[in-house]
This record gives sequence, structure tokens and C-alpha cells, in this order.
Amino acid sequence: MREPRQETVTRLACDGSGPTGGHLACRGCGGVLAMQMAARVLGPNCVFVIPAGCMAVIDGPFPLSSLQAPLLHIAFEAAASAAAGVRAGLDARGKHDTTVVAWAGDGATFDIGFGAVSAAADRNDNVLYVCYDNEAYMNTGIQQSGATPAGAWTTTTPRANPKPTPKKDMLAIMTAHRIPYFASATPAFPDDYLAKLERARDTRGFRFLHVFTPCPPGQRFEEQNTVRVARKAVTSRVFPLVEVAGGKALTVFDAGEPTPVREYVRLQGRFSHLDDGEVERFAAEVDARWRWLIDWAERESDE
Amino acid sequence: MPIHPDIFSDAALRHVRGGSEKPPEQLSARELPPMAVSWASTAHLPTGVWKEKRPVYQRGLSPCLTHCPVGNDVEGYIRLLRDGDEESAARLLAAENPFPATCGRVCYHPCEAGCNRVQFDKSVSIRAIERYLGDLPLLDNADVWRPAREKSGKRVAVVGGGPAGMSCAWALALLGHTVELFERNRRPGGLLRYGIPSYRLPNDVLDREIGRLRALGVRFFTGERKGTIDEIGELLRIYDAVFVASGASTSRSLNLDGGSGAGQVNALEFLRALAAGDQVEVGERCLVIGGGNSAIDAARSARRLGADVMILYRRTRADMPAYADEIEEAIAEGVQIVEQAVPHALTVENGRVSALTCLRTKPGERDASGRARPAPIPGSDFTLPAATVINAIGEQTDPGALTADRELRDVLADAGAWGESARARLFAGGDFAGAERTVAHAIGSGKRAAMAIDSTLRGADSRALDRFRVGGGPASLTGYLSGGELDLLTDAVRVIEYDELNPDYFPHVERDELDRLARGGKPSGFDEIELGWSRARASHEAGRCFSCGKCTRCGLCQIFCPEGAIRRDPETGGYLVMDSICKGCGICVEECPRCAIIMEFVHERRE
Repeated sequence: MREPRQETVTRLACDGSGPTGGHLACRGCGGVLAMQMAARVLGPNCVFVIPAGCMAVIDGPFPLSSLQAPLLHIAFEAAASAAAGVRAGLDARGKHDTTVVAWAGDGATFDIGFGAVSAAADRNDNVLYVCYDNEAYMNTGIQQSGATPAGAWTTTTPRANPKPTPKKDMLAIMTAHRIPYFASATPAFPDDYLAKLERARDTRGFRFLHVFTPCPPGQRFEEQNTVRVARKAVTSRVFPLVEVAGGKALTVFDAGEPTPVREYVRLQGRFSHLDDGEVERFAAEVDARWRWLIDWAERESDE
Repeated sequence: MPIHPDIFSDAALRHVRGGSEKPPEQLSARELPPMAVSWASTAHLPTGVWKEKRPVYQRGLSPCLTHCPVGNDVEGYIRLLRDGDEESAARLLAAENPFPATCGRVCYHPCEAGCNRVQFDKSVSIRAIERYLGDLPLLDNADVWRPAREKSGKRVAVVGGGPAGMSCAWALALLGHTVELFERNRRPGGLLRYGIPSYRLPNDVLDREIGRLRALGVRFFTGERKGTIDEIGELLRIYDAVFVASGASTSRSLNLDGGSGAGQVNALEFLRALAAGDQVEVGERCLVIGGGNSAIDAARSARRLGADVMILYRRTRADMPAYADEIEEAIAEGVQIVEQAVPHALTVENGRVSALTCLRTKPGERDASGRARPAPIPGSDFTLPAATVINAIGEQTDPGALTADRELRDVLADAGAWGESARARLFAGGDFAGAERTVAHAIGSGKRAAMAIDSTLRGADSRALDRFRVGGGPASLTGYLSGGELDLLTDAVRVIEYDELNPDYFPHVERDELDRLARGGKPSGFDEIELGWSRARASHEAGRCFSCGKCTRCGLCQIFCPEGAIRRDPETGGYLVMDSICKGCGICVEECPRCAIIMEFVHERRE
């Protein structure tokens, strides 16, 4: 891969906007990094709706806030429906150009708030829904979520008995709702993340952005490796970057020659109990899913 | 899975806008339900106290810098070229090396061996880039070759017009001294002119670079041999300092049975006669004995004169001290190599050499260096017909044996790293002083001596010179001229190794090479064999450089900081870390492609 384009760096570089310092994210937090970049791209004309989860804590202890934008804290299950309400309220006041962003973790999206997400997608509410995914309930102490991959350790799926079922397929779930925009991204690929943020911002209707944001304490890796883990997730094809925009075919980001899944897995303590054979099986799953994705992309481009 | 196109229509979206476009009614604050609203920013929470380590920007050294015997700022000029500033790149190169076009052709490029890219794909083609910059016409601009200091009023004599002597003369002239150079041959250049065949280094390239020395004010006295202790003593009376770099230009004798006859010649004499334009005769079959660079040069030259050429070497091809790519080129031109063989006896007919009897060798006892000494196998003799036998086993000659008398050699034998000798105001360098015998080392030694001479003439403490070494290695003339105020000297901490880089940000790009004239068994006469590059190719190759240890303002540290703690410094253009909010995660350090930041402990660790 290459260094990001200089224009991307200029757009994403800290200019005083976005979350101020002093926020309460752990060292090396991938979630707040995703928020830093997103807030700069989405601009000041934004309202955030944040349910229970890390980001609700990260923003700051009452009465402090780091986000420098209106933020509605809301219950765990309610991000999508509250965002729809904020949207309706803003529209009622004529503020159609304000972007409403629901910013929820994987627990609030894959599990607890899933019904609300599905309903908002079904209504095609004009909101941008961002799921920052660290693959477990990290804020409450690393319990498994529907986003936790098979084989991973969490406190509720101990090493002797790691998670048996695979991660829910959010790409299939959300595109089955036939929403106008779905993309997966990660801050480790800034050019791609920036482009997807802009397209998501500029699309109307229900937009879903699935952002992979590694968590050093929860996924058990050293905090300087956050971006490296996210990058390896993409280059090893564990977390492919895809986009389904405006009814068009699925596109898959080309991260070049694949890197071994083993490299990604061995960076993280949550997989440390896996023996080489299990890592091989993990890699085979990744490979099967990748082929499924490519088939999908090719089938649609043929149609 | 096509999506129904109607969902994008205004009609489809109308319901989320409440189904109407009528003006909104304003809600008053009293009508809002009671809720808690934050009213202050976290900006002043000092979360920076969480950290144990902090990121610190550093200036590291690219390994090419310390591997260059000349002291070129290799990373610097490649970066400038990559950024599109060709003129500054060429000037930076010429500021440390008066012979960039020459080195760009003949240097054995240790920089490329040190290049961190070797561990990624292949090293950057640094020599080819240097050649491109060295050939730029803008280097002929008079202002590139103007003394950097006022006239000092001091006069220095330089003995020997090879790369060491000329580089010393150049640096002394830049430093404001009057320089007069004595060369025993008709024309200056030394080994560059008389030892390197013109198909590798054309005369006009060399003349162009020597001409710029004249423009700088260096006076050349050719045909002037100054080789005795008395002659040097005389110079010391006239001049304020004397630099001796009269080379090592003799060959060892072969001591063959069978006497001698016409057709025997030493490699350096052979090359020298060719360069001087003298009549040189080579028989149809030519044998070259030796495995060094002069053996290869002689063999390829003889091949160009039309001979069938064989190189006889006592060890195997892999053991040959000549540069591997030169050997390969020679073979491509049709030179044969006879491995593990030594000459034994010469057959002379009618006063002319007609054949050489050789013995096979096998690896024998190990010598002091640990290499197996080749032992001739008795009775293994074989005879090769030969009209010309070129002796190229001159590797271990006595420095200056032909050019200086014993007494002078003794005085200068122990010249130090800066060329200083036991006698005041007398300095030595180049092959003569026993430095590693390459053009680059010669240029480097001449430069160092010039700094030492300047320092002596100005009454400065020459023991402090080591501070002008980049990373403890090659000396920087730019650094010396600036009184040490050069970031490579003041800030650069150490050489950056490959493991410290983040190669994830570098795409694999194939290394580009100079095109060559001849291939496939036929040499191409004495025309230059390598062809130069276009600007596009040079810039493309420069784009492969990692710039190890040098912050290129790529901004990755800034955009990957989860705290937003890294800001541009408007004064320096670099980056500042806001200590009060940096939590010390180290992502910036981990992601930096070139190791321009490191983590340091905030507090001394208790033992």
C-alpha cells in the first residue's frame, strides 16, 4: 500500500475541530480515532445521537463534553429511533441540511438496538448510522457481542470455551434492507474512510457505515498497534472494505496482495489460545467469505 | 441484490420530513422536557498525565549517508529530486562531491549495499540517480563553483591530480585558499583518466568536471613529478601546507619461468597507454591474470581491441575481488573466465610470447584472513595459446612505490584519518595513504584533508574535526562550512535500521537500472556503455527512496492521533505534540513510515 494522499491528510489533520483533548478514551482507542476523523469530515453542522457504550463515556463526565457538537445521549437500544426523531424535529424546523449521526457501538447495533436499526432502515429515515465496531462490549468489561468473531476470547467466552458462532454479517443484513448507502471502512485506510464518509454524508435516506475500530484493552494488544491491527484486518481480508452505494453493485476495496491472516490473529491476545490449526481454520473461513464477496461483486457487475 | 430506485425519490423521503415543506414552528425552552445539558469542554482535562512514555521527533540517519565514503547527503538529494526540485538536488550533491558525474559512473556504490530497501525489495539505484544529477547542465553554472569564503591569503600545494588530490584542491579552493596542483602526467585525472577505461568513464565527462575546478581557481601544473622527500620539503618552504596523494600505480611482477618476451604488459600500463592514446597492440588471443577490477577493465578493453580474452584467476569466480556486476558485464561481452588456475611458465618464440602454461589449483591451507590459499596441483599443467599476457595482480602494491621515494613514503606512511602526518603542515590521502582503494574513498580522504588543512591554517584545533563526521562516519564539508550548524550533525541521532521503519506504507516498485549498449557476446567499442536516464526515470526511481529517519511531513502521526494532540508547528513546518493531552499511546511512532519519532520514558525508571 501507499501513504495516504496529501489532500486526505490535510482534511483529516487536527485543526481544532472534532473531539477536544481531555476526552476519556483509553490510550490508543480506535473508536475515538474514527470519531476524530469523522467529525472533521462531517463538519460542524451535525447532531450526534449516542447510546450507551464507550463513546458515551469517552465524551466526558457531566457537565463536560469533548465533541464540540450537539450530542444526545440516549438509551442502549434507542440510537436509531432517537436519531429518526431528531431528524424529524430538525426537518420540522427547516434544518434539512443538518446531518444527524447515530454513533453506536457493535453491542448497540448488532444486538441491543438491532430492532431500532432495522426499523429506521425500513422507514429509510434520513440519518447516518455509524457503527464503530470493536467486536465486543468493551465498555462494560469485554463481554461477547453479536460482532465478536468465532474463536475469540471475551470475559463471557473464556479461553476454555471461546465464542462458537461467527460474527453476524452486517453487510448482508443491512443491504437486505435495500438502504441507499452501506459501506465498511476503517481509519487505518484514510483515503477510503474519507471518501466513504463524504459519500455517506451526501446521500439522503438511511446510510449505514460499519467502521472497524480496534480496542487495545478489549482485544488484548498493545495500544500503539491500533492502526496496525485495523490495517492487518483489511489486508488479511478479515475485514474487507466494501461499499454498496445508490443501488449500484458491491465494490470491494483493493488492498493489494493479501497478508497472512496469522499476522492479524497473532497481534491480539484475544486469539492467543488458538493453535496453528485453529488459525488455519480461521483463515479458511476468511478466504471463503472473501470468495463469496468477490462472487457477489462480479455477479452484480455482470447484471 | 439490486436496490429499488424509488427509495431515493423525494416522494419516498417526504415522510421523514413530516410530509410538508411548511415553515417550522419554534419551540420555546419551556416546552422542552427537563434534561441535563453539558455546559463545558473537556479540553482542559489534563489527560496527558496518564502517560508513561511520550513521543519525541528525531532526525535519524539513512544508512546510505554513513555508507557513502564521500559524505554525500544521499537521502537529501534524492528527496529533493523526488519532490521535483531538481536544481536543489544537484546543488546539494555538488556541495559534497566535485565529481558527481564521475562517481555516478564508476563508484562501487556502497550506499546501495547499505540501503534499507535491500530488505524490502531491492536497493534504490542511487548511483544512476547521482549520474543523472551530475550530468545536469545546470551544474556548469558559475555560481555552483564559487569559493564559499573570502580569500584567506594562504597557498596550498597538492601533489597528485587523481580523485583524492583534486577533491582536496576543490575543497581548499571553496574554503578560500589558493591551490596549486602538481600532476606528473600530461593531463590531470590520475586513475580516473589512466586507470578507468573510457567506455566506463568518457573523457569529456571527466574533463567537464575537472574544468570546473579550474573555474574555481585551482591551478594545474602537469608533467610535474614531486616524488622525493626533498621536493616535498621544497614545496613546504614555498607553500603554507602540502597535500600528497600520488596514488599507488605499480603492479607486482609475475616471476614466470621461461623468461620474457614482447606481448607481456602490466594491466595499469596497458590501460594507461590506451587512455593516453598511445599505440597499443593486442594479439588475437589475450590472457589476463588476476581477479580484481583492473583485470576486468583490462580484459574488457582488450576485448574491445578485437582479442579473444580469457581471465585466469587462482580462486573461483565468486572469490574475485572485482565488483560482481563488472564481472557479469565482461562475461556478457564474451570474456571467458578460467577459474582455479595459476600461470606457471611462459613460452617465448622469436622474442614474442606465444603461450602460457598454467597449473590447476585447489583450496589449500587457510591464510590469516581465513580464506583458503589456492595450492597449485602438481602435474595438472595445461597450456593456453596467448599472444598477449596482461598482468593484473597488482592488488598488494606498495602505496606510492613508483611515485615517491622511500623516505617520503616512510614519513607519510602513518597519515591519520584526516590526512595529518608526523610532519607539520604536511598531509596525505588517497590510495597513497593506504586508504581503501576506491574513487569514493579517495574523494572522501581529499575532502577530510582539506578540512584538516583549513583548520590548521586558521589555527583552529584540528582535534575537534570529528564533530563534522555524519554519524561518526564520513565528513561533511557543508557541515564544516556552516561551523557544524547542519541538522545532520546537530540533530541526527543514529542510523535507522530497517526494522524501525513501517514498510506497510511503501509499495513494492521494481528497481530501475541504467540501459546498456552492448549485450550478447559483443562489446561496443570504447563508446560509453551505460546510457543516462531521463528526468522521468530518475524521479521515478527517487520515489522509491524511504527517506529513513527523515520526517517528510507526511502527516500520518497527526491524522492517527486519537487525542488530536499533534499539531503543525507554523514556524518549522514540523509537528508539535501537546503534552497536556497526549496519553502516550505511541500510535504516531508505530505508524511513522520512516522512524522520525520515538517514544521516551517520561520519568527516569527506578532500578
